[in-house]
Amino acid sequence: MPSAAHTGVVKIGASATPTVEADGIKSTDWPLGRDVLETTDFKDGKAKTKILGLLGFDITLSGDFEPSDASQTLLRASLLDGATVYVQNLFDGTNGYEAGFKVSGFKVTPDVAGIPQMTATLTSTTDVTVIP
Amino acid sequence: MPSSAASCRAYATGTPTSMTTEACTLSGGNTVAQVTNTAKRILDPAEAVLLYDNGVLQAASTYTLNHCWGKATKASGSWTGPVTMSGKYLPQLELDETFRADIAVTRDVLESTVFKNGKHKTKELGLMTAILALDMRSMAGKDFDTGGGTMKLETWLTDEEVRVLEVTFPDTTLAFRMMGLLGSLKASAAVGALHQVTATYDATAPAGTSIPKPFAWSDE
Repeated sequence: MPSAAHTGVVKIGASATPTVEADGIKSTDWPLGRDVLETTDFKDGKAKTKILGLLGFDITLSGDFEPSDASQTLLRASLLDGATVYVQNLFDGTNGYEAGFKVSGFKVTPDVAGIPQMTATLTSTTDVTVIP
Repeated sequence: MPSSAASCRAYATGTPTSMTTEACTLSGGNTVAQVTNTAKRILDPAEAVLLYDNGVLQAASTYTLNHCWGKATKASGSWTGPVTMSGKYLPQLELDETFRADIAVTRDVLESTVFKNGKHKTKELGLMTAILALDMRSMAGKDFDTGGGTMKLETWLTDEEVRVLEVTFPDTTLAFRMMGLLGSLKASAAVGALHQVTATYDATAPAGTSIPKPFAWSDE
């Protein structure tokens, strides 16, 4: 049964299980992925065989730039000081993922006709926790 | 609460101007000294700063200088006060035909995964940089200096001088400043539209200076 995404919750913090909901975030992308390692050998016939390697992925959080929001401020600071941030994204308010990330990019775009927009790019550096 | 970007502003710096024993305000438990006069906070990165604490000249190794915001942070201990700075500041001129800004701060990602990590990758962050692009309803030859001087972007592309750019945000004291070189100037003209210029700056401190980070948000 499809569900509307507006019930989603994004929490960001400096330690695991963050509790503070981020303000301004309107869109998230979580392309969970593992490296795919090909194991095909002569014995396997015509089809390739694979196993899974390391888990690693980049997520983006984007929306309105909120200069006073603690979570967005933490993202900006963590980009500069290299600290790990923890992002918990509950897509329907209950179910989702959490992982630790390094903030590799923070972009702000003010346009005279709109509201300043932000995009944060984060790269995973821990395992993923499936919630609940 | 989001605000309209219509009250954002963009600035660039002009000719370095001398300042002598400029008063500073202490904060952070007297560990941070910032030039009090907001118009004199952008310190010329090409000019040495002489910082005095209670009348005694301080060695540059005893503090970290934030040129973009005129802040000196003690490496250890606190300032006695009063603190003053002498050197040169960079006055600001508004890039008043800016209608869009794009601020991108990024860091290299370095993979640090080892056998012990288990099934997931681990990462550390490497070198950082920033790129600032400003879209203006201008021609490349517009003179932004409303005083007696000249400030034309097309000149900046060839004079290779580092300037400090700033973008402010509405309803907040937060702003972003960046030392940078104008690396790209794209002029657009269409018969049914206004002249438009996109100026893209790459963050860098002037050659030969030892400034560790040529950009900063105002709340750093």
